[in-house]
Amino acid sequence: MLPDFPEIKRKLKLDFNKALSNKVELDPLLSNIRKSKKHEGQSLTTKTFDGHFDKTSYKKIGSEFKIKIDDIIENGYNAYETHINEIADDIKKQESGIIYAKLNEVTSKAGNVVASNKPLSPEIIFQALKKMAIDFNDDGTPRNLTFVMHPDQWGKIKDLIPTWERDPEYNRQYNEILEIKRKEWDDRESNRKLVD
Amino acid sequence: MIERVIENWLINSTEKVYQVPYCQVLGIKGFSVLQLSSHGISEHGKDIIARDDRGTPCAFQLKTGSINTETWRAIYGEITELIEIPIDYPAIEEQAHRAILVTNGAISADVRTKITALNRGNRKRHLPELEVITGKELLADFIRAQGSFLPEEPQEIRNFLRFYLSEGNENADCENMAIFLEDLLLSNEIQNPNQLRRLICSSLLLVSYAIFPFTKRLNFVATINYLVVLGSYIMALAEKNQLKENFWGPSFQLVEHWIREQLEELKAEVLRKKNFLEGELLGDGGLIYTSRTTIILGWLASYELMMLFANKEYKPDKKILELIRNNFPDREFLWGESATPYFAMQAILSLHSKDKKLGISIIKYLIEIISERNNIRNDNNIGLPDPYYSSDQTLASMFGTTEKLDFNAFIGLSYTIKPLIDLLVIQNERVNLAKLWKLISLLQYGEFYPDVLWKNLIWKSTEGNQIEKAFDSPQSWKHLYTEASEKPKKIPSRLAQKKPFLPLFLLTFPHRFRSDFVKILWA
Repeated sequence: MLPDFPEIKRKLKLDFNKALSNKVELDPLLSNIRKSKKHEGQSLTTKTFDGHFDKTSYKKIGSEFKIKIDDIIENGYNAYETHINEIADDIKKQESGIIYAKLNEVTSKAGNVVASNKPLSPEIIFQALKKMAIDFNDDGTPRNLTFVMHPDQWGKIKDLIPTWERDPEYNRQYNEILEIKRKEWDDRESNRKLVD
Repeated sequence: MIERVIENWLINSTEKVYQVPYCQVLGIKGFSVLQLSSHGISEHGKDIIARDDRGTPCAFQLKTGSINTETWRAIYGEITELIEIPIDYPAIEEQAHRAILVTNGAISADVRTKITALNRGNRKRHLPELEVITGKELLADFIRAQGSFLPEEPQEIRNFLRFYLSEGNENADCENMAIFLEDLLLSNEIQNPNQLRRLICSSLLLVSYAIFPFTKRLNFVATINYLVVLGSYIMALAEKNQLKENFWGPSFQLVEHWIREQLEELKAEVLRKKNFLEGELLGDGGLIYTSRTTIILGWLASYELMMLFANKEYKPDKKILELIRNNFPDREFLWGESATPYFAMQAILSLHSKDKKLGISIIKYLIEIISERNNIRNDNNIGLPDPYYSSDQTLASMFGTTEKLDFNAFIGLSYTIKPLIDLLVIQNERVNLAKLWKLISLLQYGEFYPDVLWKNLIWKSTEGNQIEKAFDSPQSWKHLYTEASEKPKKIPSRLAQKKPFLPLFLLTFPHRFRSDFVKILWA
């Protein structure tokens, strides 16, 4: 064989994977989801905090990309680096796809889907909030309450939000829902105990 | 290559090191080994008592190095005992026995003449003649015993050499030993029980050679770890092929004997020392020191439990309990969930020794730390690593000598909290558990079940189901009690029958610290 530089290449491969993983982590949805490594087996059964059971098999995620040999010869490691965004986007798409598919499956099963053909409005958001279990911080503010939406959808409503926030009726309804959710939260918290 | 390795190993071994492998060689030659002396202290000149393939009782005395006139004079008393004092073993009623002197060196011409004269006299006195096995014959025996079961694939050879060429002062690399044994024992299609027995014997010999740097440096903990991995894989093979005890039991017993000896030597060293510093002082102390203390106390507690499970009359050593009392919790360190079994064994020993207060306080301490660090509301993002990460991996990450672990990834889940809860429940510690329950309810507990039982005994199984459950809200105490009291179901039967081995298994395979395994320690 010709002289190789395996140690240097091993390190560069690690750097590449790290950089790729950092790019994937920039996704607003994926960065909010904690990842944990499963060391054995080919399936996962979970019972969530709200008592929901689920069994799922692990799915393979990967991305293919093409690099010309001349490009590698000319640019070395940088030839790969220029593709990193493309690969990260592909992986993000696959990961998000799996997450949304699971969310759809779970919410449909639990009857927690709010479907509407109308444009997104405070009424629809309130309907969704009513179906959610919301956790609260010690200061009474909702904990990790996050809405995920398509950028096009966001474009349509972002200018309307300040108006909605100033509307006393919307505020009243929002506070009313939060009050109910706070009571539900208090109930859930008071159930974190041992009984006979 | 393997012949050179065996030769090098044999030349450099002491009788203490080659005793167990030699018993394995005897087993392959058709001997039934009945008794081994402990720590090289022979009883009436007899290190090994066995029956040969014709059923004749045999007594072996093992020596290191060449025997010249001077050495002969020094050992003459033991040789006389070897020959003249009948074997004292319950299953041996015969007065006559074969007396065999074994050395890994040579015997000088002078001494040979003396032995010939001795034998001439013994014949007249109707005493056994002294048979002699020297280094050359011993080497031939070992090479023959290895048979065709050798590392062949490049990866197997590399793995073997990785151990054989190591410094011997490192902590055990159990995962790679498991890979080595998986290639050797589990990746072939052999089904014939006799061939499997030979395979098991050869694996014991190969591991003896591979871990020589560790045994030579008296690195007891690493040696024990490797032997426990070997014992587990022997058991896995037996479970997988439903082997009867006579095909795997004798080799397994040799491994157990060797482990017990190493633990006894570890105990003696620990009790001799004023502190637990080791090697270079620069870099020692702090977390390294407290982690080492945890490991040592975990192994010593396991030794006491092993002895207790083997003999109900055994009284756990008060000095070990005193060491635990003096060091817990300030001088110990829970680096991750792979440390849980080390603490748990100290707790279980305390409970078995009627020091309930200490036992409960250790279990409470573990539950408190795990639930504080891994509950879903921990905002500092530093969870406790799962039990698949060893002390080496975790500490290296903490000290920044390797790539940093993602400590945030461990939040939300614990693999070891459920068996700890079971222990509190079975002790009727409802008030204590209730105080901790809010935090406990904020994490899921994880358990991995391989698709078939024997795979519990291997390092990692690619087939099986990971279960992650949240506790009920509210949680019924009665339900917890029922669960904790249920008989363990999903465990390999051979492991359940070898209860003294279980504490050692759980320290070496911390990711198997599951409720059903821990329950056996109470059954």
